[in-house]
Amino acid sequence: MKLDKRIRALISDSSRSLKERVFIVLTITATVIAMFALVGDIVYTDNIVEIMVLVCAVVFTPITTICGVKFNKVDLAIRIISLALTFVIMPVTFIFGGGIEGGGIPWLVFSYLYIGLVLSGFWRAGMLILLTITIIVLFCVGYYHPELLYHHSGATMYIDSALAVIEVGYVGFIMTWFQNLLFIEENKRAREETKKVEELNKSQNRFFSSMSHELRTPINSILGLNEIILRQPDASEEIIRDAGNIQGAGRMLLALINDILDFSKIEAGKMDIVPVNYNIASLVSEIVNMMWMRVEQKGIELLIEIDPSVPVELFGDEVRIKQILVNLLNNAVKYTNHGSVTLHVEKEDMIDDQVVLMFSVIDTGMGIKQDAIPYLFDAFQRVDEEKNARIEGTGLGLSIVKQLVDLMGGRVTVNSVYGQGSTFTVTLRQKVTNSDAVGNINITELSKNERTGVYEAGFTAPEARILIVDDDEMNLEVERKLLNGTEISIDTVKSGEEALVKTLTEHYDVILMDHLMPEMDGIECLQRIRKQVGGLNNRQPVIVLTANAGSENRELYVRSGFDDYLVKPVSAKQLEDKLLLHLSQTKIVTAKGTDITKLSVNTARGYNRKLPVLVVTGSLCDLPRSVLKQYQIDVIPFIIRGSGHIYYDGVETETDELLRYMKDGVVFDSEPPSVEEYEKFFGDELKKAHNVIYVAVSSAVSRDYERAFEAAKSYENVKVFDSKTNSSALGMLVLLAQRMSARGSTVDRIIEELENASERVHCGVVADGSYFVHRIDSFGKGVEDIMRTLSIWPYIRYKNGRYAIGRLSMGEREKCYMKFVDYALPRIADPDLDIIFVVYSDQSVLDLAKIEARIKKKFKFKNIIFQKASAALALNCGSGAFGLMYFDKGEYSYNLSPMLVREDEYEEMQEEPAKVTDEHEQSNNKLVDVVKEDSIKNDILENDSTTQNKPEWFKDIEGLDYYSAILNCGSEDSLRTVLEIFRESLEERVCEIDSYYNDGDWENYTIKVHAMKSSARLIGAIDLANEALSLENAGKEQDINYIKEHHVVFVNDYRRFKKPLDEMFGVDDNFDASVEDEFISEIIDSVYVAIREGAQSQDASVIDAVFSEVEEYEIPEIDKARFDILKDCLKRQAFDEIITVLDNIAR
Amino acid sequence: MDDNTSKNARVHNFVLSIITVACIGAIVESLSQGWEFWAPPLIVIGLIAAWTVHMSQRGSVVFRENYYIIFSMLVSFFHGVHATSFFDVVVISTLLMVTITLFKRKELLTLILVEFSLIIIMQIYLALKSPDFVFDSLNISRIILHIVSMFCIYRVLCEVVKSIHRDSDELKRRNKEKEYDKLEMEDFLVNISHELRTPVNVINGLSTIILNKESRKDVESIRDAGLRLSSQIEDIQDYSEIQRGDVLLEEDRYMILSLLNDIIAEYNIKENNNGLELIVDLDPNVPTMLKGDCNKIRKIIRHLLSNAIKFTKRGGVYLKVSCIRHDYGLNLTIEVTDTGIGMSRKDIDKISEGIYQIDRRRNRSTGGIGLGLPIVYGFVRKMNGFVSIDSEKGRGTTVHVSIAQEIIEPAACLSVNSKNFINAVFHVIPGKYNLPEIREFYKNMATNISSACRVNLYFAPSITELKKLLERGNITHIFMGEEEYLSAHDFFDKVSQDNIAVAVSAHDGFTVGSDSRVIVMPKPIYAYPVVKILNGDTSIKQMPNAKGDSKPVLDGIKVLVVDDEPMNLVVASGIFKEYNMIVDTATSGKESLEKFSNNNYDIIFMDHMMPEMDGVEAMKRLKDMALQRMENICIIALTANAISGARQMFMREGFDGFISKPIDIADFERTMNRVLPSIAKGGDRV
Repeated sequence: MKLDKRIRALISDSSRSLKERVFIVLTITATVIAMFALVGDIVYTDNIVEIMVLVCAVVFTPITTICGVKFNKVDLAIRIISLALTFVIMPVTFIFGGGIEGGGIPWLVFSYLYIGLVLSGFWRAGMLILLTITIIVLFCVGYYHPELLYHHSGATMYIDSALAVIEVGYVGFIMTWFQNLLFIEENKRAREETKKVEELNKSQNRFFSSMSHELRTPINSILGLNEIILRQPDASEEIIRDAGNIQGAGRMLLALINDILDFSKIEAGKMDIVPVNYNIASLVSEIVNMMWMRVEQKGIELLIEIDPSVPVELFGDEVRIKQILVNLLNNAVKYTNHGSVTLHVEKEDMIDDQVVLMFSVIDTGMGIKQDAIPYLFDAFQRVDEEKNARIEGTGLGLSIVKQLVDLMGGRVTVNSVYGQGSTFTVTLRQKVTNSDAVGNINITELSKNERTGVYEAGFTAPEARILIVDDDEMNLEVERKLLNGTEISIDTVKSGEEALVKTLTEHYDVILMDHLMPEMDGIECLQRIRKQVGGLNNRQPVIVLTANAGSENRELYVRSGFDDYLVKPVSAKQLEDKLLLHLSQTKIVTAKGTDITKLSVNTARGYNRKLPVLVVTGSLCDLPRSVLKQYQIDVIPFIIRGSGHIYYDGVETETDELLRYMKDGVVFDSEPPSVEEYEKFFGDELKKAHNVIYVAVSSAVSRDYERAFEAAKSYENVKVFDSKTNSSALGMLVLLAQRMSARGSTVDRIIEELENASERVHCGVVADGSYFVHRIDSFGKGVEDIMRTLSIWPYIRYKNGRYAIGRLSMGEREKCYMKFVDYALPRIADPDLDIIFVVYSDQSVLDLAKIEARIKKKFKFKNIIFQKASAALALNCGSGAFGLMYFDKGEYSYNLSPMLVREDEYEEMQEEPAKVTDEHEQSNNKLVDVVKEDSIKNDILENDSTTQNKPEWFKDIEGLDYYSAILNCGSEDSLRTVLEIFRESLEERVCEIDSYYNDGDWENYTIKVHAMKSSARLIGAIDLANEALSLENAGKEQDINYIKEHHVVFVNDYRRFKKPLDEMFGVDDNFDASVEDEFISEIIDSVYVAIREGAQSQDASVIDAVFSEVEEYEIPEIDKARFDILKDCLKRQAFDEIITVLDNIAR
Repeated sequence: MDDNTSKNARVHNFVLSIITVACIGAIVESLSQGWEFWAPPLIVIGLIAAWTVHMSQRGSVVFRENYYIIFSMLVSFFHGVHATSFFDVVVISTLLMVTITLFKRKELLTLILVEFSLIIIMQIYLALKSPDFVFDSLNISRIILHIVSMFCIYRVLCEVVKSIHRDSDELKRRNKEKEYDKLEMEDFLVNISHELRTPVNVINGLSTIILNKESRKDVESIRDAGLRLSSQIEDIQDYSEIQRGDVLLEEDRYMILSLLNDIIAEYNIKENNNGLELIVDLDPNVPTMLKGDCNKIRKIIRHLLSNAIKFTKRGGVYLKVSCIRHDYGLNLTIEVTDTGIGMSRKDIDKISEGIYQIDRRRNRSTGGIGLGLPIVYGFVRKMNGFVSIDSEKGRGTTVHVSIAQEIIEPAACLSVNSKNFINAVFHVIPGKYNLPEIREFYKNMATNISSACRVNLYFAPSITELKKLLERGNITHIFMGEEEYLSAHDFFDKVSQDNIAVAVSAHDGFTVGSDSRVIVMPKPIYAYPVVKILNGDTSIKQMPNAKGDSKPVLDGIKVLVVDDEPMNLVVASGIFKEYNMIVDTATSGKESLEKFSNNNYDIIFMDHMMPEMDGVEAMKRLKDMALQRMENICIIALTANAISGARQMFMREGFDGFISKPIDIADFERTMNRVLPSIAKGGDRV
């Protein structure tokens, strides 16, 4: 029993290698079986030698095995056993078992099995050969010297062999069964493990995002409320001091959280470097502005020294550089009690478009002991623990700096004299995008954000015109209100479509664009504005305005070509700053308080207009010209030579004409462009984009890839992709790449997806055999003749970068066509039914109709696109050739048809599955970003006309937080408007989301719920916003069940606000409030005018009449109060006072 | 592989396959029956040879067919001579005969019949000699039946072949007739167009003369109708020449700039008030002088433009002329884009095949005979170029023409020589165009000119932006449209005073105040006047009416016009007198000789077709006479014979120039400008 248990434990011990376990099982089974054989032998009184050998084997094998297992020398045991098996046991059983007549034969087979299963590598091969030799020798002996063998009697022989066969059979059976068992087990474990890893990853991600969100929300409230306290005019000095401390602590807390998150992100390898074009001057000014206050408070001096020959514009990760410098500066300020902190920037070395910059932060602080320096950059290490106990910070700052610098391939060094101060030097290599010298940067001291009275716009620009695109009316209203003071004329539209209409007719200085909108999202809208034919805003700055914070998102927006980035909710200050940056200087009239000089440093704009990724291809791509034009896919033409002239394919040539000339006997030849032409082409394209992907024709078909690749060597940012296919199949890949780039995917992502797609694409052509053979030089004239006389039509398949003749068909053209369709679309094919391309050369309409019918009979493709072959392709395949191209059905459809099939109404494009949403998903609501930090800070520092007390009209509603609402909306006035809009659009929104819910359109559902989330946040309904947030996340993760469970609750919660809001605004349910409001405000305006007239003419009766007239209307609270004042004045006949009151109101 | 050979190949494939099957049968039988051992290898060799011949298509069709038939007859003979095959002979022969019918040759059938007879006779002989064969009634009747049925089959197949031949002959005849009819029709068209030219010449000439004296609406209409008629006649002639493949190229050197000037001038006259914008974008880098058939190119552009205009109701037409340089010269690229109704793929295919009407209904509403694009295709093909049409229904059409040309003078046709900094502003208020495409066209044109001439270009979409730009200083030139000027003309008049060239592109008849220094460019605006202004050539308040080159000075030149048709003489002398030439006329070749011997003439205009002595002969004699008098006489052919290649033909004969009737003033002036220097020389000598 015990033995049995131990054996079981041995076998099921998964820590042992598979081989060992097999060995043990095999040995045990073999031993047991051998015992049986022994018993049989003894019963039938076999010859003594054989019995002795068997006994030895039965004893020796288990002992060896046990020893092997015990001393962990299983390998050795295996080898010994197999040697013994081959040279002792086998020969003996053979010779004494009666040669081929005995039972030894199956055991020979068993030896092979044994060696194959338990040995490996060199030993297995060696033993195999040895065993074979042994057996041959044995058989030879048996044949030539039969007398040497022991001969059994007939009966023994039979019994012996029967036993042997059964025994070996059993061993074989057990082994197979066991192997199978092991395989299943192993498989299961592997699956479990991957799942575990995945889950771990996922939970880690979720942890990051939720942690940042969870921590930031309360801090946000703390800081916000504190801000309100600070703004209270009647607050005592003491309160303000305390509040100031709270603010400091809160901000510190925020910074710490950022540090920790950054650190863990770096540790997890999740930190990405996102290079953008940035201006060194504005980088420095921003840092200075960030540091100013702290330095001031500490009573030390901040010095800035910038080498004037530093290039103005660089390409690198601005945010991270800022973070590095701010961390270093913070560190310096922290440890410096008197003296100064200096930021020193120097250009070290400039080669071509690369510059080595040296940033030094020099302080006059306490310095660092030599023995501490090696550990300086380690995480959680603090220098002089006891001495600096009162110095705040996690000690992560320098570690983050070090890691970030490493990430950017830079170097950080420290020089320090203990007690005298230290110098941190960061050396970074950056790309130069504008090599003009930066000169003298004029960094004006930022006005210290003291509490000043009413918020005033920083500047006015009455001539400027901007467009705001947002599907949410509330946001539109808020933004409009925020910019009220600037006198900018503002147009608002609610969808991408409308925006495109506007941009065609109006010129805007800046466009603000929401990202997530139903139907057409902001990124796509941006791309279309950029490419709009005849559009007036092709090159105007477009700023994305989004609720999605997070560096990954910022990266997405930068890649998508936005000029700037703003996180909702925005403050007036932020909006104005961004506008100042992007509006033409000539349009800005006055700027109060704001130091425009600071911003005017940023003069070298325009560089950011480059597209992040541009997809280009050769003229062989066989896409409709209109599509190429619409998506601005630039195409390099192939060269067609004929009759001594050179023509560019697609640009000049026309397929029909070419085939006609060919019929007339003109010899044409096609060739990919020369390397120089590729170089020039890429050079031109790089002027439009930072990265270029060239999708080339299969390298087996053309030298396209080879030459393009050669040319691309001169450029760092040109990727050449071998599509491994041809014609429209290539075209489909191009479209896919174009769409991905339009949606902001990175080059690597696109290439990766192209690799996948090229595996799935099917490309087949049927061609006239003789012509085809003629084009390929490797065949002789004879083959061509045969092709011609027999009118053979080869079916050519492009697969994995090669082309192969799949089948030959003989006979009439039409029949061959039909057979080709059958061949290209076999019954077992599983095509993506979205789209199929039919590329044809000179088929008649009738032929095409027949082909179409045949295709339809085979598979129900949603779109069959007929595309005339490019001249170069027609030249390759000859007249009468045509091809079919489609994708295999994969996990998801590429769904390219909306790009090709133009409908009158814009068809909603299916979001590129999985991958793109991934990008959104990971980053969503990680509010870790520096940008967000700025936004919060700005929110707090912002000088709003926020009244400290809730106004009368605002009635407390459960679930509505007034303070966060006012923080988000900017002012009481806009909050009021926002609430009204919220109330009015409430029902409509609910209906909309219900309909998406009912249709199962989760994509638009997610977008809608996202919009509802931000509107809920705006009005301060925090719980509701959180509900929406989790629904949104569920939508992004395709967690339909969660949505199904929570949708109804959410909708009801949302609806719950309807009634209290109705009450707040004093409206009946069925009364159209907006009309009413407008009506009343109009009346009131006219009332004021009438009163003024009365007052001016000093005629009390007129004013009385006016008041009696208004009596029957519902007058808003504010106006009622004003009326009371006016009535009061009237009673006193104080007309002058009335006029002053009116003036005040008007203002 | 044309249709006929492929059809032949298919028939041969079939026949050979059947022969192969039969031969294999024969071989099998031969082996099984133990016949002569050498036969099967021979059959195999023969078979292989047959396939080889077939595959390589060696020899003529008849030769191959003969080979197949002889080979199969040999095999069948081999099979037939064996006694055992007695009753199979008829089967084999029938099979052979039926198969061979596919060759549609009666003599082959006869041959097989003869072979059959031979074999049968031999078989009977063998049977008679053989002791085994019994001539009973059954066998005898069987033999007779075989022979009779063989003959019947032969007869039937002969009939089949005959009827096939009859049918195909009929078809051929009919095709030929059709062809002939077509040719006749085209001949007729050419003739009639020639005949029409004379009266049209008279109408055009006289109405022009009247119009020069007084401006009358009715006569103007007559002239316009006449002009249209003459251009249509020309189109018909071009079209029929293309159809007949008679187009000849006249390679000559020409200046692309004057070609475009002509076209634009013509456009201004014809299409003044259709409300369409014409944007001409000439790449200033096109070489000054090229070699090619400039008349055809002119016609191509003209057709493309008029076609575009015809089908465009609103928006405009964008003509872009550029080039791609190669070793052999360049590819001249002409692109005409309109914002019209567009064409479907089917329409485009039809046009490229030379079917000349797109849509009867559509054409009826827009006028014109719809030959434009087919003529374009015809000419371009002749020049080995490419036409491609890109169109989207309802959105407009782009026709792209690319023709290889030689370069004579490689310098850019337009360039800015000013060394000074040029900062030009393109001031167009975007809202004024009803279609965004037009805006794009203008923008393209402006950027193309500026980048080719290395001029800094600024766009000012509003007057305030323009003012801002002016405030910044450095602006040297402002270009704008009529509307923009009118909206603030005082301002621009003022600006034009301070050293800034202000140019307004405006319709004909637009004037500016007398004190204004604003330059008016006639519409359409294009590179030539723009570059001229950029070069500081501001003296031209009014651009030359762009009638190509300047008007030739022909005062006091003595000319003799020779034509057998008095009306033509009236017209010619009427036109020539306009130029203050001294005109004399002669109604025949003889008379011209007489007149020439008595008088001195600078130029003689000679008709071609005249009774008794035709123009060429008269010209030769006149030249002889002049040579004797040591004079140089300039003789210009003035003829209605305007088939393509006519110019070259006349020039080869010895004429100094060629003008086709009806006389096109531009053509006339061009010719005069060309021959004038030689006249001056000749005049010196007298």
